Amino acid sequence: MAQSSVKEAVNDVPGLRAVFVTAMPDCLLYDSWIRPEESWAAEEAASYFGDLVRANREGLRALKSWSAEMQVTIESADLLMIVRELRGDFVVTLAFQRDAPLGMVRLHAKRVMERLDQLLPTLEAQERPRAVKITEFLEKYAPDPHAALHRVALRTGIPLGTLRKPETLESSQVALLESSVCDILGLESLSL
Amino acid sequence: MSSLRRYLPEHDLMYFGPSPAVYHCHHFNLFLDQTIDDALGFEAGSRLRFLAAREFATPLLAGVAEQSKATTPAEKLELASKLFAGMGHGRLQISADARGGEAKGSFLHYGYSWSQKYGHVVKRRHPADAFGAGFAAAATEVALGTPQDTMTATEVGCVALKAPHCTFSLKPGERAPREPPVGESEVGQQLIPTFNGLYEEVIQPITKGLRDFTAPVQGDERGLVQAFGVYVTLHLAGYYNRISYEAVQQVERKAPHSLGVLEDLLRESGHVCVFNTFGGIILSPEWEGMVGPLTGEALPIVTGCIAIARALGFGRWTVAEFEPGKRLVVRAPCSYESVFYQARYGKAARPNEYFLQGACLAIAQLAHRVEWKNKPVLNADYYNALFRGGPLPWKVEQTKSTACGHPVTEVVVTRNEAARA
Amino acid sequence: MPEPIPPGGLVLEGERARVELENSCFERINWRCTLRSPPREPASLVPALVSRGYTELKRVPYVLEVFHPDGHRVAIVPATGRIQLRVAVQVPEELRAQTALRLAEELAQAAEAG
Repeated sequence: MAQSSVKEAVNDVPGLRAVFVTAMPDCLLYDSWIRPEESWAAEEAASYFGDLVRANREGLRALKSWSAEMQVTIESADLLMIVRELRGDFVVTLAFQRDAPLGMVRLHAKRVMERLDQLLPTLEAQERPRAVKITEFLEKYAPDPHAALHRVALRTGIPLGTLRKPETLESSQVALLESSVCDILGLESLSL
Repeated sequence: MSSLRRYLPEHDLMYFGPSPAVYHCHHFNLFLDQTIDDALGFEAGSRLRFLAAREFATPLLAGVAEQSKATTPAEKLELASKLFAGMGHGRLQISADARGGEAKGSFLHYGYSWSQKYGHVVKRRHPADAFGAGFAAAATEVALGTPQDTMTATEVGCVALKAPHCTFSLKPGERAPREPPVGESEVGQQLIPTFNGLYEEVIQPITKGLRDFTAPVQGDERGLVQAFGVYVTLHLAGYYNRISYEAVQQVERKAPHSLGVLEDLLRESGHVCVFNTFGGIILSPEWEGMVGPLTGEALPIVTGCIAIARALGFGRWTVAEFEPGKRLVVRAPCSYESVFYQARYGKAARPNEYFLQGACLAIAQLAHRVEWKNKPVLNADYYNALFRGGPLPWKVEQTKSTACGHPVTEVVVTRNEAARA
Repeated sequence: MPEPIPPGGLVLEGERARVELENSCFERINWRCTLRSPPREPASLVPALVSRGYTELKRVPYVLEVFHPDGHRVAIVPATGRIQLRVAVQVPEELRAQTALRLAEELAQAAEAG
């Protein structure tokens, strides 16, 4: 999708600082628009919002609750954000100035989602190897990310060079990798 | 406390009471302990850390008790608690007899600093204070005069696991094999004649100034030393050395293909320590008063770092060569690592002063990659950003070690031409 | 639990002074203090604060240190005028920023009076 299409979809929205479109289930940045005066890195931000929605969905599932297309509102010191699923293919994140009235923000968000629903294609989710998703997850969430693969290599005995090409791991190695990542992050399992 | 600290002035090694000692920050302490556990598994790793703590705390506690003329168990236990807190390790109260007992810790350096640094990012599965456990076991043995190397201590509650306090269960166990001692006389036998390097007229006054400033520093009300943006401990060199070198030996035996990765992580312990601690010192008002405002040039950072290393008891590091933007060569007659290795294991097969290697790499990074005049904030995000975009622009190699019988220890840091600019 | 420290750091502006969190201080203990009307001689702050009940600690000549009765520390670099405030650890973390600003205002008043 052309950059200009995202921009067109949000052209007349007051107080909007950025839009991130994250392709699911892999939480990869699909497209974005960021106000020129911001210094944000779209790729980095986009993947976390995908994880946020996925984690929310798991949380709701644990409460035996369900929502067709879930919307999350985040209020921080300087941002008001709407994070919303779109058709299951995408997560769209709209970041507004903090002082934008919440009611107006929700109204604009609804309109932007309707426009993007028309503009965004239907994605065929590509099945990426689980080991690739695991190492990406580790590098996103591990403290000291530059040392994370080294730690996995040391804990599992899998050579570091092999871990850097996770698509080549055998299934027994993938299991070791996953177990080690769970240990490092203190998680019972990885929802990937 | 300050009367217990002394230096070998020609070699810039430090002693605390009878024990070889160094200052290290929580970044180093946490990363090193984590690396040992990654290498050996938590059970074996924490056992090694406990044994090392007990081994090297014992002569410290026994020596200081004798010096202070503490004779009763209560006096010796009280002294142990004071020492522990004064060294910046937190508050530890021990209540035990020959059958065992318990110890309670608050603001223990390892558990508390782990919570501060990582607690909001990951969930921890195992307790953090094996050093505190070993210290408590040693203190109990020294206080009660029970056989050395027999008291065990297990951490049964830890703040890093969200417990309100750290608690330890103490009980007598099997005697552990006795290792050859590495104290002052053993270290002394490894020393070769010292030497100077370049820019000594700049380095030596800064070293003295830092030593003067840090002499009275000890733990605050919590038993912690929070300074220069890090938690500082006055720590036992033997602890660090034993856990590092025994982990290397075990991995060499059982999983030799993993040795390279272990060595990388041991180096990284040095790198993260020096980057944060030395960087924090350089950004401090004390540094500004002593050295003046930062100019942004590389050479003052290099000479400053060498001075800091000496003041912290790491050894007589010297600048042998420095070409800004291209090459840094650091030489030393010894380091706190090499003297230990030689004393305990004899000659090393290859240069293996891992902390020194990581530290020299960090010095090159500090000198060339930090915009000092912009008052940078050296936090976790800043540190992690150093590694983005591919391999680091600097690489390090230890070319010589006195532990191998070479006439000097030498570390060479050069520009990594394969990396980004 | 206090809010996490924002990536850009923490700055508080007062009437007579501002305080900003010092390098990588994650417990909100150390603050750089900038007075809007700094004294011509930074060292003159010391007797001004001593007259207000602070205690001077002489350790090294290049950094002057005075301690508030509640344990807060003020460090002054006379050569450059830099001022660092260290809030006492007994102060709960969520109150340290305001404590630092209050100290800074007190310093500014001492500077004006002295």
